[in-house]
Amino acid sequence: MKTILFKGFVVVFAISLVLASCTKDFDKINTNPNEPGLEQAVPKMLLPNAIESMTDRVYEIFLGHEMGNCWVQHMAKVQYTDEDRYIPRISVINNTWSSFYAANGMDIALLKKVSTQNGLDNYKGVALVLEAYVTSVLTDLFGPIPYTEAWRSSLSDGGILSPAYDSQESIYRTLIANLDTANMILGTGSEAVEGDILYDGDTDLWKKFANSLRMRLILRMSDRDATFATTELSKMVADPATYPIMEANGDNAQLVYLGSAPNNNPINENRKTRDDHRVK
Amino acid sequence: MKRFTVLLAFFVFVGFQALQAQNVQITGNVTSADDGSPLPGVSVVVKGTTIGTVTNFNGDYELSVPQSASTLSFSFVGMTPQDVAIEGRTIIDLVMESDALDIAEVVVTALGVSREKKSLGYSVQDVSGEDLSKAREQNIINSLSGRVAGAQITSSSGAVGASTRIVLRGASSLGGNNQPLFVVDGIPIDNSNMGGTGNESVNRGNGAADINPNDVEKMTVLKGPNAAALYGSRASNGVIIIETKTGKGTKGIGVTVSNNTSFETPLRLPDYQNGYGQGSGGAFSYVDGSGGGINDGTDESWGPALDGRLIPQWNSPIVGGVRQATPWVAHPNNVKDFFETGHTVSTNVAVQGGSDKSNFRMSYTDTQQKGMVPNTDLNKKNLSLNGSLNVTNKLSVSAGATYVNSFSDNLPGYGYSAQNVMQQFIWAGRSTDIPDLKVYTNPDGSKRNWNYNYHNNPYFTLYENLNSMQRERFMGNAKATYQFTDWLSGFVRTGGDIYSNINTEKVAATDIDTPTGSYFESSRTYREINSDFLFTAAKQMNQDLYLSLSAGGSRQDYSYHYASGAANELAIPGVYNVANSAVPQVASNNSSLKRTNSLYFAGQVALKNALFLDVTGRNDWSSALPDGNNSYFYPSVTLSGIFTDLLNMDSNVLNFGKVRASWAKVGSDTNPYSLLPTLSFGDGWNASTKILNQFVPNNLPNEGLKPEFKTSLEFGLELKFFNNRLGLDATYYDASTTDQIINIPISAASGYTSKTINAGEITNKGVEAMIYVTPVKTKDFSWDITINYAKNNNQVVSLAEGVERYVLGSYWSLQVMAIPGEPYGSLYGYDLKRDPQGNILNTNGLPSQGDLKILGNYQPDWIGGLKNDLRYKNLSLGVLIDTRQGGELYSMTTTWGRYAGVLEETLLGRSDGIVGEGTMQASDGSYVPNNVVVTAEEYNKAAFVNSVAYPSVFDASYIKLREVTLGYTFNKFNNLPINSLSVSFVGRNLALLWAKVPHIDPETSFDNTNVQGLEFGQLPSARSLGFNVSVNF
Repeated sequence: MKTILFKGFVVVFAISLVLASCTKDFDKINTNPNEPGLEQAVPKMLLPNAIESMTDRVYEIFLGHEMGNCWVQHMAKVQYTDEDRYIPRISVINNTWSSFYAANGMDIALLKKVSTQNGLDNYKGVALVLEAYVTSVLTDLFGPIPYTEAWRSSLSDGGILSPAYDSQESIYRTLIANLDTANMILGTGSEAVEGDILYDGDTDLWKKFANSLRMRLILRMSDRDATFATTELSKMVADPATYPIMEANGDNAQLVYLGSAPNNNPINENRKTRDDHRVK
Repeated sequence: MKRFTVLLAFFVFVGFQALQAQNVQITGNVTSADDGSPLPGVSVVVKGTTIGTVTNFNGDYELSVPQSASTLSFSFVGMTPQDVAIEGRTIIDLVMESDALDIAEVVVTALGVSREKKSLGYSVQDVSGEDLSKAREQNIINSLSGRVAGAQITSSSGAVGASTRIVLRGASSLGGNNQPLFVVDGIPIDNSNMGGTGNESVNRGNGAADINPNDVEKMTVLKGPNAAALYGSRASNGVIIIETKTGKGTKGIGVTVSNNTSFETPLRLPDYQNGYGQGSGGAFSYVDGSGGGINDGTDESWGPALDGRLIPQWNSPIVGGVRQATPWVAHPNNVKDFFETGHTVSTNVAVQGGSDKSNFRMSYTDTQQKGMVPNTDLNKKNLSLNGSLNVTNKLSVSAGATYVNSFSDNLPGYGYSAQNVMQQFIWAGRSTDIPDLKVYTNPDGSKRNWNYNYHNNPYFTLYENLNSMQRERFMGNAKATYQFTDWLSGFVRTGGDIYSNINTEKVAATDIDTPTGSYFESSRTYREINSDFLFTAAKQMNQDLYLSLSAGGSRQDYSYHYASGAANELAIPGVYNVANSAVPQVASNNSSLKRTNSLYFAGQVALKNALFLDVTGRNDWSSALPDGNNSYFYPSVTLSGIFTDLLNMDSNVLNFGKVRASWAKVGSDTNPYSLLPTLSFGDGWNASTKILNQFVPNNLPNEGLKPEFKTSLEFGLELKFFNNRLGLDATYYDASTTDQIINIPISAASGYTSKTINAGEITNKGVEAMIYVTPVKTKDFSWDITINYAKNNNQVVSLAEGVERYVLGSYWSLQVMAIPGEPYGSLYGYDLKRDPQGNILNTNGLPSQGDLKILGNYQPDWIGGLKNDLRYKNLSLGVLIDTRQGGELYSMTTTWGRYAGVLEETLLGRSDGIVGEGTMQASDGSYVPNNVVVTAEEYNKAAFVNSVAYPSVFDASYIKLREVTLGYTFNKFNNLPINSLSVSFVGRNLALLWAKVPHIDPETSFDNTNVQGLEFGQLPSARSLGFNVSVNF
């Protein structure tokens, strides 16, 4: 009887020990096999979505079309006529904010981070231009917005979940400075810009985008700081070799949609199932 | 490791039990006179001493007694105690008679251990297999409606294969599962949705619907976490334990053949108006059904009066190229006639056999269902086999296996979608002869329909857009039990639930939403293996004191794989293959793994078989939680006392009285891969050049997650009067779930819109009561009444700091939310505009959109059931009524049905206009009663529209005649090899006796998720009438 007992306890003890010690496989079991970790981000795969989702956001049905075209009465609707009648919809405003920041801005921020870490100056230049564009649209829409603390939710970036707001002025000055940096580093990197559905990897065209956008931002703040605007603009105009700008339609920062889902023009996609829009 | 040490100490404690000096070894087996089944837990004591033991799981005992001993006392609650003289025997078997005065109920508790119900300190309720097979619900959860106090059961619809949701004692988890764990023969099984949830989808049922009612011996509902601390995390919402039938107790071979046949018709369809036909502004004339005639693109019913006038219609004959005008008449039954009489035919053959060493049972069931919705079906084949063998008198082994094949050619679409025919009937002009649409193609191959702007021909939807399902499922277990000594036994067991499920969705070319047609196919492979062991030491120390201690451990391995492919536009119509895609195919797959290791113990001290103290503890190690937080312990303590025994106050009036108290805590983990941020893959740019992309998803995972905990306190009182003719079982509970793992919204400027955190608290406080009355009990006639009642007060105490609302789900302008201070499941949407006094404010005679606010809540105030069972000799009659009181639902049928002018209420004011309820603002700014007359069309379109939800939120209370059964058993057969033949007539979901919501059955949902209280074009629930025949050979 004692032997049986002893054997019993040995078995229990052994099984218990095996069970308790088996947490060592847990890391492996709980590693997501479906999606890569953030550290596995690849610039050429981040870039196409960063460009397409940015363009989608600007030209999508709610912001570009209804808050844009319908608001200014270029188009009208026969159903859901809120924006037509200057009634902004909270959901549209919220969606614009969250989709620019989270759905699009975060991809650009990650592209910027990965290219900076790996010394990929061409990609970094592209990221700075995209970031400047998105941030300028956001601040033009909303005024003061989070910028310096935005997109820093990762623990390594400060784990900031409620970023502080920056003044529009400081954002404009930072973006203008960043675009200068972009212009300087674009073309200096040794890597080819792949996944570039906007300019097909042509860093010269990206420089033109950077400088033209920079000029737009300077012009927009010229009434507030005329001295700064004059100095900066004169510097750029005087030196077209250093500051090339868009001169022909081929230079346009224009994404040509492919005509079928999932890369269709968002307005065209909308028209496939809805017909409540009318031209005035 | 500290906890581990504590556990070890318990084992050591067991080891110190003093061993008896060996004198004479007596062995034996104790069985019940009722059914010959072995009796575990019978106390065997040498009379006049403290030497004793209890029988093991197989009813066996072994006891060494002093030479001087002369008599053994056998006792077991519910059985007449017996003293047996030893008379030099070494084998003493005993058959115990049940004690008519105190019938002990034995229930299965955690870890599959059978215990006397009277010794439990928490609330447990049983439903017998007989009740289940009588009721013959295809989804076994439906059979619990009205039978179990505190179980809220919501059947989603009467369509074949529809899911059912069950919640015990209210919802407690914000983002997670709120349904109980299902355990079949000791092994947990999956009860998740089988693909497609929410609005605009196909409801393919819930996992527990694969359990065959024919094979169920008993269902036991453990309601609180108190009852379930030993099943681990998933039992925090309660456990439904299902024991399947075995051949135990069978002498020789027994064969049962049974057939259940039932017929289903819609219980309730909307009350339509039959005064006005299709059109708008009182005018209609058909040319092409898409706007070419007078309002013929409009589907609504604001057209001319249905007075027999002559108007060209969609099905009017065309003579010489001219569509002839035909009588404009109502088709009052056009929706009713669209539905068919569904039927369910289920045939079962079961063979069982047994001897004293072994037993087996084999059962095969074939079920064929044809739905009320045309061209929908579901076929199921269940094969199950189980057996056990006593290899030696110490070692016994048992195993069970069930194979289920579920197959459907087509299941109906749900929700507000063109794929749901009920959506169309909310809009369809009342002049439409719907059954005439059965031919949905014209001779020239073009579509034949009544409207070409918004709707498919409903028959086209059901005969061409097919949603199939095929599931192969295996559930099984194997167990070996070893009786080490008379007081120590142990078992090892392993079992699993494994299934693969393939769903396809075909959309035919010319569909109204997808004119090119499309094809989607998904496959799910689910696998969960649970292996466990348990050692139990139990000893009757003396006549008064009984001690038992069980300790064991388990490993749960879960794996899931999903793969899908879609051709969103078909290149060649009618060929349903993902490769046949005119646009890039969309493929997706993912898999997940999880492991949970556990160690646990349960100890019981029983004094005088009347005072019971139970202590349990469990430690889980979960792979889904981060290192450092992945080990968590949760205990429970339970105390109960039968005060009538303890205080010797047993009398003819009060013959049994028990009080109980219990405290329990249960920890839960989360889904795999919730810790580290990842990148998602996008659709890519330009499939031909394959520029792949990836993006950052919107939710930020959390490396620091902790387990969430539910704590519950429960008090109960059980009283039995007049020799059990009157009984009461009442429970009060107070449960709180804290540190919930939820995705709370964060500033999008952080780069994410939400983050997974531990936060929030939900409390549930409530009472449950069951009352049993037997007003009449004679040899030939008996009448039993069972009443159950449960009231639950649920409150979302807090969410995360700074979070005011947590959205459980939203459809259109209505959101289902958790809001602090409110019960879980607030219906949040737009009210009508109101004046400062709160009256509806009309502008130009019309109401308009007001503020967003809480319009209702989907949880009921209380639920209850009333069951009457009458028996006269072999004739039995059962009537079950159940009710839900309180809580609200939003009915889209009312919103669009009134907007479209198809419902009865829209007849009001058709000829003289309507003056809407409420006020209007006078020119001086004051509010005066509204006096502006508007047309019925204007009014209904302003008050019943997507932008306001308030007018369509209704009290969801109801009283239902849930079930009526009338049965007769014949058991005298001369010259025939038949033991018994029973015949019964069964009606289920027979009548909605009382309801406040118009047009629909208030028992409604899309699926069994946490998003409830929404009706978006309900497929009607089924009234079912049928009969069962069962023959025993």
